[in-house]
Amino acid sequence: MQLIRGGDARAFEVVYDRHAQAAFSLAYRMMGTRNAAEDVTQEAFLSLWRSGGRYDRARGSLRNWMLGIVHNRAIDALRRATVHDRRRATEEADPERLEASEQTPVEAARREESTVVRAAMEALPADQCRVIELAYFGGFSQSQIAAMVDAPVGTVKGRMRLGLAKLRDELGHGKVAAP
Amino acid sequence: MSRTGFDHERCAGATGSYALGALPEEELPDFEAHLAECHACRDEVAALRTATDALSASAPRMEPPRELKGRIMAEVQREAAVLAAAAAPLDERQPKSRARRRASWLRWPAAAAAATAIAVAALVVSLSGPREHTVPLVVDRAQAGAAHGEVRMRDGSAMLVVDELPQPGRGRIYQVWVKRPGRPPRPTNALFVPARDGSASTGVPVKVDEHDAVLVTSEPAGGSRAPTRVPLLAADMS
Repeated sequence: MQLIRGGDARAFEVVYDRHAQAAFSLAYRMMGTRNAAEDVTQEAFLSLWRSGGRYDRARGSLRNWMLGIVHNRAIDALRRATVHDRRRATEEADPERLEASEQTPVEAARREESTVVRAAMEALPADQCRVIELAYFGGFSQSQIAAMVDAPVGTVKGRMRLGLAKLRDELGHGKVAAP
Repeated sequence: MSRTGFDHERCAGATGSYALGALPEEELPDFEAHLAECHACRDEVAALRTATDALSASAPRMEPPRELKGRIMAEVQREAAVLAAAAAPLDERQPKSRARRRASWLRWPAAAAAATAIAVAALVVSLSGPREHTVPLVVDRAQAGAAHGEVRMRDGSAMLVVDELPQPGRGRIYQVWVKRPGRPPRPTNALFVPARDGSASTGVPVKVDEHDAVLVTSEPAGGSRAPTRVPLLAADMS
């Protein structure tokens, strides 16, 4: 990242090659179309190039930071779209059409990681899984989700919190202490 | 109730929503103010974020198209060239010789200099006191036409004053940068468009010292974190 801060395009290319697949995968999962996913991925990587100085290693991996940028950009794009389009994308994304082939051990490991996380999501109670997916992948606010699932906002917030805590436990990160 | 608008119970109930980015924007300032003073809520948000980080990994793996990398790298290489061109003359300058310094400005920006006529105003520093001086702007005529102006320095504060500057164009704005030798230009939040008569003045909202250069580029509305075009106005403050 030091090299990227200094304007080194080759250093940036190394970062792109390492994280582009994860970034594009998340963008596609959220946006539901190839063109929109490409736009989000492009915006996110150019943002990283222009603001590399803000990355703080102490606050997490570069991959998670990069995916955080992708997530925020996708939410911005989704919130510009109509609720109908967003709901359709959340429910009808067809992940099979562009699925990557396993090329390297790293990619194979990430595919395995993806499978494990999806299995942990499926193990959640359906109402918790649903609100988490609508919030994280659909970019909906808690009040929009409350209207969509016909539940009070307080119930939706409780499902989000419980679901994330269970997901964390399921993935082996340990218990979340109640404050 | 805490000093903020969020009491602890209310904050604790919203940690999941916050970690997922689903908390309404209008509630964010109070929530984050509470987080700043509450260890328990802060720890819970950090813990839940390990789950949201994992969610990003649950997306089915997709191969990004090759053309996407081509488009991104083309833009990155273009901006890297702009940065290098803006950096070169300042790094090369010879502070002991005003004539040589002016010659270095004539080479800047390297990529554009061959194609554009850059009129270099006489780099005369008029001192009106030990801590105040005025530096005329170097103008890229291809971008800025007949624009002319100066940067006025007083006790480390700089004011950019310019006349006959063309409008930046739809969806664009002028942005002020401060450049130190050997480093990329630092963005400032000084964004401006000239009045109808082409006049503009703006303070430079960071401390400027005698080794710095003040640059102005045309950027997309909202500004940029790194220049996307070569500078159209510049003043070497040394």
